[in-house]
Amino acid sequence: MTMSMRSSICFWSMTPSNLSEGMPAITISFGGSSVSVAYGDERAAGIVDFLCRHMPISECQREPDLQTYRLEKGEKGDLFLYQGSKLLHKGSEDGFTAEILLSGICHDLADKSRGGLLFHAAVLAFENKGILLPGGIGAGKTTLALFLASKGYSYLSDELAYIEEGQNIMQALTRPLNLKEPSREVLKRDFHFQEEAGRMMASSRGDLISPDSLGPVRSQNEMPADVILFPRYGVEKSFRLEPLSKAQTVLRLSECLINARNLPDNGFPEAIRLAKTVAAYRLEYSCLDGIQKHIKKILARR
Amino acid sequence: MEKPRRKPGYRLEELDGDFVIYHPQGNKIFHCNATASLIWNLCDGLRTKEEIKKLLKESYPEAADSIDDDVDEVLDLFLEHDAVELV
Repeated sequence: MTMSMRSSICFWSMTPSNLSEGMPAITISFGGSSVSVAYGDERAAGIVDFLCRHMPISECQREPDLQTYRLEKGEKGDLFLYQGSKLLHKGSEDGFTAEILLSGICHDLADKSRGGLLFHAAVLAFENKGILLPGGIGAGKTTLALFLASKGYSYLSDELAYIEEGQNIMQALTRPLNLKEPSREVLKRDFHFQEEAGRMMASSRGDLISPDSLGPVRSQNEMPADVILFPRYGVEKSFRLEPLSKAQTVLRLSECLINARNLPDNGFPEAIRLAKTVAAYRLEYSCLDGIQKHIKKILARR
Repeated sequence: MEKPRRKPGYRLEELDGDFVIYHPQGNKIFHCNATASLIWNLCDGLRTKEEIKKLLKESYPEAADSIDDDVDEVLDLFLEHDAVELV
């Protein structure tokens, strides 16, 4: 198998290099932080390719503090996933292993991220306008991202968005959507799970869905932040799409800022700057029908 | 008599008539309105709660009826967030 990862920004080159005992490896650089992943055989290469092909890949650099994952197949067919020298996971299921590796990559990128605001957020685009969807676990980011992508929005990320200090350009970590099992039922009319099964991996809690199953993936994973939407899904929630004051926006951004401890003044001045310049809304919903039209109206005003 | 005093390190930021009070090093932030921001600025460790109420009633006689409750509520909020201390 040949790794087919591609660069999403011209200066990122996809150059596997030998990092771990002669294994090919890639380095993912995002949000002022880097993580390396080495893969030992075709099966491991396939998993790494599935997870990382749209991520910003750079040439491997041997830095002493660079976290390195290593994925390889054991003699009995199990997959072994190492974090540094520590065995993180041993198992036979590709999807489960992929989910652990993806989670580790995101965690480590966030851990050392600096130079800008790193949000727990989905990122989408529509007609060259960028939408930031910050939210904690269970806010409905991935479900909403997949739904909007099925309605013609461009998918950029369901998990991490980085905004460099002093700018309003979002950089998105484009990765497979990590859709939890209950969302399958919610999205069954909008996304063809059966037809796209070949571009999915079953994870422990649901599905990992390749961005390739959502149409052409954007060659650029940078977008201006035109609108911020704070999603909140709830079974009993009435639909609400209401503007937030700048102060409310700062509060909510701060809740979703995951690299605050690495930033000057815990990132508050930068979060305030962002809130002053980008319009934000609260989005509460129990049903996805028609949401795309409401968001289009907001974008049209920008 | 105890006098409320802002704890060191907190900053007040106005955003279009709305306010946030945050502590950059302590990673704390909360939202407040214009009334609360006014009370915040009066928490200088020199005035008692009653003196703050009296000053606000003199400055805003039209709102005198609600000032007692507002000051109590806002000071509770500041204490809850550990943003003021009683000295």
